[in-house]
Amino acid sequence: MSALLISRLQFALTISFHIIFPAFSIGLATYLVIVEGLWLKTNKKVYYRSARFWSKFLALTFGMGIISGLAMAFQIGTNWAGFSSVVGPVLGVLFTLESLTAFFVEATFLGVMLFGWHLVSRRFHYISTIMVAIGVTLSAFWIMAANSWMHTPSGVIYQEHRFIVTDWLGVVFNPSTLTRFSHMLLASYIATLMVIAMVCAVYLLRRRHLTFALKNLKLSLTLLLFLAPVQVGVGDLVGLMIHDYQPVKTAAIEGLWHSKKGAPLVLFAVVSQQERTNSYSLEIPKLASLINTHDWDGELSGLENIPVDQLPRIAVVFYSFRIMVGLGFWIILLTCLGFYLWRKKSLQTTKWYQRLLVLSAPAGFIALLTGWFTSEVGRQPWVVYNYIKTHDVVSHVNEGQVLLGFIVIIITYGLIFGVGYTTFFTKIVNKGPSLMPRKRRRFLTSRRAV
Amino acid sequence: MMTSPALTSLILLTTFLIYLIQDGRALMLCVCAPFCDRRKRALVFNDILPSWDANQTWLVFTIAGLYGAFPAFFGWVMSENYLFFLSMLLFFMLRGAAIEFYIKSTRYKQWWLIALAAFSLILIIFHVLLIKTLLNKLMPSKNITNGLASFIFFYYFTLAYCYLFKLTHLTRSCLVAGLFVTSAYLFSESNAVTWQSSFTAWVFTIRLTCLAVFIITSIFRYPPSWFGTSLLYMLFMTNALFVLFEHFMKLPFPSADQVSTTYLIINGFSIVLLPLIAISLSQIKKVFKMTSDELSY
Repeated sequence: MSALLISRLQFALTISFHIIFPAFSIGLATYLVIVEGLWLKTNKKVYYRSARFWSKFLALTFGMGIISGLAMAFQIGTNWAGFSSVVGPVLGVLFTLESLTAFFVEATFLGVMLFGWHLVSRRFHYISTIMVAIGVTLSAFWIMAANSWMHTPSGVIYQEHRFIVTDWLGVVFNPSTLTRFSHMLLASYIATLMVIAMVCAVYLLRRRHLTFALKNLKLSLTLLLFLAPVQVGVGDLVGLMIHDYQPVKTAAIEGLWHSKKGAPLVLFAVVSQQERTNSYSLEIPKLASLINTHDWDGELSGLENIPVDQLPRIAVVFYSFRIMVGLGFWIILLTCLGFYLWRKKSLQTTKWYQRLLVLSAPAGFIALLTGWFTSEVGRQPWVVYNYIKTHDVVSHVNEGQVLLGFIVIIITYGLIFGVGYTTFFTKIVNKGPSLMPRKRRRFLTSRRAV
Repeated sequence: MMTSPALTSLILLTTFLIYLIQDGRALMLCVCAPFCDRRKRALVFNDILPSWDANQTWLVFTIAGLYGAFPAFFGWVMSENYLFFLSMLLFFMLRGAAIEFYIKSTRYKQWWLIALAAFSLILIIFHVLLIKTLLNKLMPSKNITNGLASFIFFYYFTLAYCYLFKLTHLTRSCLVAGLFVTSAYLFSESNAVTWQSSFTAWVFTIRLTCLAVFIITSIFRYPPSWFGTSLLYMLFMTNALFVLFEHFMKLPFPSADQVSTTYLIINGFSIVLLPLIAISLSQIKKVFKMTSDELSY
């Protein structure tokens, strides 16, 4: 294996692990804003317990996000030295702004939020929770702006192997930033709500903490009912944007080898990149054109004229996209089903639905990851679209060193994030939203800290 | 007038030193934790937990700033020392995980505590090696080894000592021990040949003045005031800042016209740091108000 391939695999592995934690943090922080707000408004104990309970997950997840995020910062320098020198003046500023406007805010207020329950007033605590939510959202914005710029670079000129910024607003608000940021934000909310629904379903199945579980399940279903269809709409906007700026990716997503007007939507096919054909394909006529151009007879460019060395791995893009969309619609179906059972007042008693929720818990995160695979693999072989190729920016490091590093990272990630995080996540679930000690209960009725 | 690259490097060095001070203190407290009794350990973790992730933010900011302002230097240093940075990263992750898992664990708490202390000690060694690597890259003609280990080690020890003192109100014998360690640090550093170039008289004077104020306030006020310990805290920071900045200024900066807006943006937005530092400090003060009855670590 070459140093390039190992570095790419390593980056894919580390970023796939990393993205789960910030996404979960974004969802949890926003959910906490809602439940704590409900507590302040209604003064109901169940919301206070919910806020305390979900903040335990946020504490654990945020820590993991910091640890795995450090790996990303180091890796850009160690494995992608060329990328640093070429793109540094553009992306370095966005990363710095992320640290300044997001990391410091969230890290500062997270301490108050997690440890200040009985030290600060309710109002200040709520402000801290809101600040944490704003911090994580801003963090996502800067990262999405940086990543989107790599897909649709604008506001720069490229000379002497270096990007020079001519318009910073053009860099930050490049053509894909807002749509991709909204898509990611909604995906984070949905993935988190699926995990919340799973935890509630576990309690309902075990017949524990029933009031807490029902309240939170209903709240998450309500939010999902609103957010999941909006996500379909935003996904459509992302599709239109990709079609305009990255037609090769659209062709890879649709498995379209030849340009066509009124192109069919391939629901399933066995894709062969070598022979440039699809076999066993199941198609719906004209639907791909409608989705990508909003016209039944719109023309979609195929991959016939793209040189072999400029093609991404079509199968990865093609299947990842279908998994993402399939799981997205599965979540909508589950939500509608849950709402129907709620209306029939049998949400608490329908075991098969609760089991289904438990099994579907990872659906949101799998959809999120496969969405990223579609996006990032679809951009290859470019690292900055149409400017720099990935193999041009890899560090000149010994293959053996890179392989050793990769093995160490696999083991460490497996132990910390695989075994460790899962164990302690399960532990928090098993412990449940227990009542606070008596002296802390006073906080519920007092305005100020004890 | 200070140029944009110089101002940027000053900001980045300041944030890097804040990281070294903040995390150095936390690391040394983690090393000391297994040797404290249950109550003192609770106080130690009460100090570390609300701020350890914020401390890492200073490092992330420094890395991001270095990446933005000096991309070629960043890529060069990182890829040239691939295994070193990879190993350091590994222990960063293990130490962070150990903190989180120590809090959540019940059955293996003691093991996680020992692991945390071990990983923290290794990271302290990595801090020494990191500064050594950076300085060797900046000044390839001189080999920076003498006095550096003792510099960092005593520096962290004294910081941890100050905080333990503040947290636990140790006995007067500990105060004497702490002063002994501080003096040993000064003595060991003055013996280091390579550091003497930056050993200007006025830096030495500032240092001695701070030490004198610390000793006097400690004698007249027991336990020592926050003011006194803060001064000692500042003593090390100022000293290290001068030394590193002097060498960092010898960096081959990229031509200013190419990345001037980069510098301006980083420098301009760094104003945001001031209120954040203030909030962080007020937060630390709040934590001190907590009593051991409210702790459960």
